[in-house]
Amino acid sequence: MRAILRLMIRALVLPFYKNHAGLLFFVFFLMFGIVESTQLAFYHQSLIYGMLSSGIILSVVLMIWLLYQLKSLHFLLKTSHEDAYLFLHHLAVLPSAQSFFCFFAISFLTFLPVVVYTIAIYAIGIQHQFYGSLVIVFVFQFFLWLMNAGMLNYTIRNQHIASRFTLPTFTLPYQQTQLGIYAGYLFKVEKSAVILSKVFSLVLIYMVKETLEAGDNFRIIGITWLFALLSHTYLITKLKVFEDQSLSWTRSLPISAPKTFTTYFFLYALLMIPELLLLTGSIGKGISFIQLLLLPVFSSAFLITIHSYLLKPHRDQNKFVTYLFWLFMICFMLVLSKLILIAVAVLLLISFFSFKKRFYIYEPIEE
Amino acid sequence: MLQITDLKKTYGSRIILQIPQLHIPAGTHWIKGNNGSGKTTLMKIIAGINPCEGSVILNSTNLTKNPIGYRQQVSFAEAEPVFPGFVTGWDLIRFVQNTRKVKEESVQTLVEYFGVRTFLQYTVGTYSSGMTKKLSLLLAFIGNTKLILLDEPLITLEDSFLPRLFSLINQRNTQGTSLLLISHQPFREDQFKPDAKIVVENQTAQCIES
Repeated sequence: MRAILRLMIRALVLPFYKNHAGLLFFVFFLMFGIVESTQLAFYHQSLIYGMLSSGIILSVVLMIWLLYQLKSLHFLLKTSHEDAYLFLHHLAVLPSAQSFFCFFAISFLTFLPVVVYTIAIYAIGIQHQFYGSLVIVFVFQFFLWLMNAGMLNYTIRNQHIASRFTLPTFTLPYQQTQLGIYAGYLFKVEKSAVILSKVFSLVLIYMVKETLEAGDNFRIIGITWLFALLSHTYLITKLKVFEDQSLSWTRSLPISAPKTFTTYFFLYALLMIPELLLLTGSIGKGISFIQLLLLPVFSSAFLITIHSYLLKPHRDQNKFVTYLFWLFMICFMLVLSKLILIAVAVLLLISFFSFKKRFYIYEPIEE
Repeated sequence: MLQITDLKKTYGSRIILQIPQLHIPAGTHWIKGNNGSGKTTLMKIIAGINPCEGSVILNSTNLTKNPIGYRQQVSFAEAEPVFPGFVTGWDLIRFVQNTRKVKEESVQTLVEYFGVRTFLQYTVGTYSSGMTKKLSLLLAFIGNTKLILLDEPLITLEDSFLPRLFSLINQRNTQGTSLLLISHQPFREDQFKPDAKIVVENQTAQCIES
C-alpha cells in the first residue's frame, strides 16, 4: 500500500505542483510578497479575522478553495487519462476502500498549501472564539478532499462508463490560423485554467475598481493590472508545452519568428479583454481612455517577455521562477514610478530581440 | 541538392551526430540505420525543427541565414505525428495551405488521392493512428517543395494504400522533388527503388549510391 501511495505521489502530486508552480508563486507573492515583513503577521491576522467574522468574505474564500480543488481535480483526471498513466488504472483491482484512501491522500496533498495556511486560521479562530466559522472551514475542506477522492476513485473504477459531466465546448472561428490554434488550445483544452486565472484577476480588479475615486492615480490600476497578469503566467508555460508537443512540426513551415511573435502579441492582448471590459466603467476614476488602451499592450509586452524566456535553451524551472520574480519587481517599480510607457517599450524591445534570436535555435521539449 | 558541412548535434554532453561533410544529390534516398543511430534527429535537423551546429544548405539556400527561404523548399512528415486534438483535419490542411500559399485545386486533388475526405471534418483527437498518419503525409505533400522528408511513412498505414503512396512519391520525384525516407522495412522493388542510401551509423552519415 505504501509503495502504491509513493508511486501515486510521484506520478500525480509532484507533476501537479510542477505544472502549477506559476499559479502558486502568484498566490504566494500576493499573500506574502506585497506587505513589509514587519507588518506581515498583523496583515494576516487582519485578513483571517476579516474572513472568520464576515460571512461574505468567508463565502468568497470557500469559493476560491472550491475552484482550486476543481482545478486540481481537472488536472488529476486529465493526467490519469494520458497514455503514460494507464498504469493507474490497475488501482481498479484494489478494494474500493483502499483505492479511495489512496485518492483521498492525493487529494489532501494537492490541497496542502491551503491546509498549511488553515493552521493559522484555526489558531486565530480559537483565539477569538470563532468556533462556528472554524467548523464551516473544517467541514468544507473535508468535503473538498472527499469530493476529489470520490470523483477520482469513481472515474478510475468506471472507465467503461461515459462521463456524465463535461465543460461546454464551442467552435472557435479561424482555427486554420496560428492565432486560432493557440486560442483554441487556451479556450478549449485549458478552459478550466483560464477560468481560474480569470476569477483571480477579475475579482482582484473588481475589488480595486470599487475603491477608486475621481482624481486617483493610474498607478493603482497599473499595479493591480500587473498582479492580474501574474495570475496568467502559468498559462504561458502550458502554451509552451502544447507548442512543443503538438506543434513542433510547424517549425518546418515557412513561418517567420516576427510573425509568431506578432501572433503571441495579439493572443496575450486578447486574453486580457475581460479585465479590460471590466475597467471601462472606471474611465475618469483613476484611468483615462488612453491609459485603458495602453493596458492590453502592457499585457502583451509583459507576457511575451516571459514567453521569450521559455525559448531559452537549457532553462531550468528554479531560474524561471527567479526570472519571473525579478521581472515582476522591475515592472512593479517602473509602474510605481509612473514609467509604464517605458516599461512597455523596454519589454517589447527585449522580448522581440530575444524571441527572434532564440526562435530558430530552440529545441522543442518532447516530453 | 543538399549539402551538410561540419554538422554537430549534441544532447547535453552526448554527441548524437557529427558529420564533417555530406552531399545528398537530387533524387529519392533511403535513410538507414539502427535504432538510436540518429536518423530522425538528422531528418529533423534537415527539416529545420531541431537546431544544430554547422551548415545545412539546400539548393544554395542556407538554413541558418535564410530560414524562411529554406523552409519554403522543405516539408516533413513525422513517424508518429502529434497534432492538436481539438482542430479538424481541414483546419490543419488550410493552415498549411495558407502558410505555403498553395492553390485550392491541388489541395483538393491530394485530399481525393489520399481518400481522407470523409473524416477531415472531424477533430483530429477522434482519429485512429492510421488516419493521423495519412493526414500527416498529406500535409507533407501540400505545396511544391523541393525536398520532402518522410520519417517511417509505411507504419500504421493499410497495405492497400502503400502502392498509392509510392506512386505519389515516384510522381513527385519525376516532377523534380527529392525525397528522403526513413524506413526499417525494406521497400518492394516494383513499388519503389531509391536512387541512393544514406547510412547513419557511428554518429555520422554517408551517402551510398544504389
